[in-house]
Amino acid sequence: MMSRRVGVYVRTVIAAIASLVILIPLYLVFLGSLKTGAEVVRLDLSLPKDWLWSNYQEVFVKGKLLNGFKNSLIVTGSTVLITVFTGSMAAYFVSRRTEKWVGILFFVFFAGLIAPPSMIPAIKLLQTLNIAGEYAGLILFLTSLYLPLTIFIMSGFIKALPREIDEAATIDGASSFYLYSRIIFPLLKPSVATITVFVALYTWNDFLNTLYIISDSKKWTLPFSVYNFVSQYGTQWQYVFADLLSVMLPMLIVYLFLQRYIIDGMTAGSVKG
Amino acid sequence: MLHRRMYPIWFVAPAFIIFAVLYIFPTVSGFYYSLTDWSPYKDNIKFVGFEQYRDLFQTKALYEALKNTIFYAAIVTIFQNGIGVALALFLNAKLIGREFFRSVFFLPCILSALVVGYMFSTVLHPEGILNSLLELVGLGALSNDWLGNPDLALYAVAAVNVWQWAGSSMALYLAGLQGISKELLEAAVIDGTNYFQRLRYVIFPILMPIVTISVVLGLIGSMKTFELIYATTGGGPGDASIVMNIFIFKQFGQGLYAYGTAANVILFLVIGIMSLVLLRVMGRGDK
Amino acid sequence: MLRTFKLLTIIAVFGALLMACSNGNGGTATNNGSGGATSNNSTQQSEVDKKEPVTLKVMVASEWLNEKKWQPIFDAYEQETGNTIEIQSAPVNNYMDLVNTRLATKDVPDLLFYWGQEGKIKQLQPSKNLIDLTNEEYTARITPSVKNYFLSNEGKLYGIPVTGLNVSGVIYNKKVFNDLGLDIPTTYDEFLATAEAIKAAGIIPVYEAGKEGWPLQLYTFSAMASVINSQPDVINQVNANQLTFDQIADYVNALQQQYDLKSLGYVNDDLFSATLDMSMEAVATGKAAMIFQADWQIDPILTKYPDAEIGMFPQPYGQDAYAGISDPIGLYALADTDNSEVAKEFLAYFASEENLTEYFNAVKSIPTWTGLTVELNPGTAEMNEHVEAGKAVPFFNALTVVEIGDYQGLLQQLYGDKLTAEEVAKNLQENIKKAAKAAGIEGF
Repeated sequence: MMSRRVGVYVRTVIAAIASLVILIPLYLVFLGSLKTGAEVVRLDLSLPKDWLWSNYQEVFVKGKLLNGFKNSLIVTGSTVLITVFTGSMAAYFVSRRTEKWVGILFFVFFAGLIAPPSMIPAIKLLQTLNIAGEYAGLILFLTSLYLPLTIFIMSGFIKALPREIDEAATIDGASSFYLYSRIIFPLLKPSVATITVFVALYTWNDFLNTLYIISDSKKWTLPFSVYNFVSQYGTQWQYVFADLLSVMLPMLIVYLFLQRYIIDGMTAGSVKG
Repeated sequence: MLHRRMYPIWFVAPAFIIFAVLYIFPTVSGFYYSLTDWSPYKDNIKFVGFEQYRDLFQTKALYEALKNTIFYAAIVTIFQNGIGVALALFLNAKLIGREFFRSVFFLPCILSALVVGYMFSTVLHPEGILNSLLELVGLGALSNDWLGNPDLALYAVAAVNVWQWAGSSMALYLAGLQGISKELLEAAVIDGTNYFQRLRYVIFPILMPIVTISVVLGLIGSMKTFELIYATTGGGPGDASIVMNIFIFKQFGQGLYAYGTAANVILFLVIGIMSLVLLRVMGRGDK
Repeated sequence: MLRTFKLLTIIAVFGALLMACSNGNGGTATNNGSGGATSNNSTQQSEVDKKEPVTLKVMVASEWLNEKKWQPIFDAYEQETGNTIEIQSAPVNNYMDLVNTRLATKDVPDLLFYWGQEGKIKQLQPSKNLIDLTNEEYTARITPSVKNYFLSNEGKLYGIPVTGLNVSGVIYNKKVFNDLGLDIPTTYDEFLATAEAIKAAGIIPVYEAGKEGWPLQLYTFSAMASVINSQPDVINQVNANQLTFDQIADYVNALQQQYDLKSLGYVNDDLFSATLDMSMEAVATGKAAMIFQADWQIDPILTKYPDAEIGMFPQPYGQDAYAGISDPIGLYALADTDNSEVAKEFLAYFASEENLTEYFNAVKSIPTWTGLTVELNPGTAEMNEHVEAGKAVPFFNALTVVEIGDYQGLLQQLYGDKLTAEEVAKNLQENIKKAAKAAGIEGF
């Protein structure tokens, strides 16, 4: 019993020290976001003379963060929904069917992980479909970008579920969809939560794809806001830091929320063996 | 028959349609451009066969970039997964504030490459806090110009990459560990195994599909790295840390569109071959 | 449950397709009143002289927008005409590719801020995409050398200069020079002697921002100004592929001299991690005596360090000291957009003497337009004497027929002992050759 308790404490201390590696650089950026222009150029952990929370206000206004937030929400929310929804079903299909052509299909999806999209043909295609410059175009493009990742990751988790489950349910009279939605999907909660976090992250932070597809500056997402404060000869780092931290905050909340879900899904996810 | 009823085609149709239209088509057209003299200078594009590739293979910079890319990817993949597994195992055990720590280690994944770039340009600066820390613990002799030293730059950025993404590997492994039934582990304890035996015979086998996924994804992602390197060293100093995607970016920057696309095709083929080999080798334990 | 889910799937797929098909009025923003309606509209508008407010789409690089102080002109224009200026900005590193993409996909703005170098303008296919401004009223008021060297392609002028004439040279800390009793060097030997004296006093002679990269180019840009002045045909020969850069002895020599500064200990030790901010701090606080820069840096330095005493002199090469002229940023109007006429009006508005005088007094830069009285920044005023005496030549990368590629990377490798001076020149030539071939330039 005693050694167990000691073990807990020892592990906690080790974790705390290790987490400094993560937290100290972040703290540096945080401090920088509260300094003046001259102070922020210094490279150490010195504290700002005055804690300029007003920097955040300046960033909020000049960076039009509210508008950016709304836009990011639309793009990220839609992309995540469509990607996870269609991707998990596709992963299920690809993992369970055994025909040769399905294997090739998986391979095609997998190639999407590696192949680089070519922006000019992509944009021309979106123009043909009349969705270039619109959220719909961006959302569908990003979806196609992250479907391979979704399918690849979820396939792995689905493969860990034995086929006996499927067969048992089917013998009991379940339809394909009932089997998927009522039995398989709940068992996938940890991985669905995980892939949701990843797709949300990538989409939230997406800059280049959005830059090329969306030409209306009113529709721009949060990552664009930081460029209000850069210049070739005199970037205002304190605002840059404040902006970057502000943009990161919603994603942090999403992760904290979903992270619980990943752990709670553990009872549903455990496999009898 | 039953098979097809159990897993009907309409499950995969939506995903496939979106993917085929918006991804396959533009990418394949892109590849076609590498066989032309496409550039922003003129509108009419001529087919030139493999001329771009011939020019590419005669460029020393291509091989530099390829070499760097592969080194970088190898280092990042190994360390990211190694540390990721260790973190997952560690943070799956009992300790105080476990959830807090899990969030902390995942935190860097949430940051954009820009933030990480600025952060570490500061931390790894000769007068930055890493060197200050080394001096503090008496290891001042090791202090260096981490990002500015051409011999160290690539490895320094690789370390930054691991810093940022080890948490994502950890997340994947943690999710996988939840799938290992408690009964199985308890039975193994009762059987008198020690921790390492349990690791080897119970945990890792079940974790194998996830390891495969994580390693392959890690490899692909790190071979395609662009934003992080661009934000920390820009490929420098003087091409010391140039990787394929930065090389390609520079070609596009000079209006060499077809040439850059050809390099992209080469990168695609290299990554494709490497990941297929890896999948084959690692997936064997799966069947 | 099954039905709901099946329904949801169908909705997801068809929803996506519907979004695609129904967005007839979405698409690109230039699709206002396109198609068959234009012919009717133009006859109607010429009959009724009503002026409907127009939205001009303007593309610009974020960094330029943040520092070049054009906003007052935009605001004044909107006030006076009731039109709106809609700005699309992108970071400068992605800007060129983005502009090229927009042109390729025909999603063009009405006005475009862009570099003034011919090698870059070429990529816009100006004869097809831009409005020829050669015969506009205001064109006559542009400084002749600017019209001659920049903003044009194949003899036609396409853009108006919207920044000052920035010149390269040496920004120096006056206090350090005064304390050490140093005069401004006018030949290269004097320059080396000056550097030696500064080094002996324990101050860094020259602070190079190696990590930043682009400032490293300014040394050779300035040196080559002297070279081109004495050998005017040199770049023309390069452009016709009759001469290569590694064959220009003075160029290789200049590269070698830049490298030698490091071996002689005249350059900062932390060269490779030195950023622009650090170089500003160094020369402003007297930690270093000199930086190789252009006068665009003076305003940012004085903004951050208002008490700094800095000045500027042209960088010597051999027996001479010439200033290099950077290409100004130009404002171009896109041809064949719905708002082309209004866009041209905006150009004329910007080019009014009143607006220009106000603008150049705000940035305190050497005007690129004639007939303006402007108060200049300290270092700029000193350099202007040289410009007016004709001792200034454009940067050589503005004179080459195509872009020179990643020059700063080559210079970093020079300082890093990875390439010799001659190899740098050879690589530079390679870059030019590749780009010239892609552009279909004769002779390559």
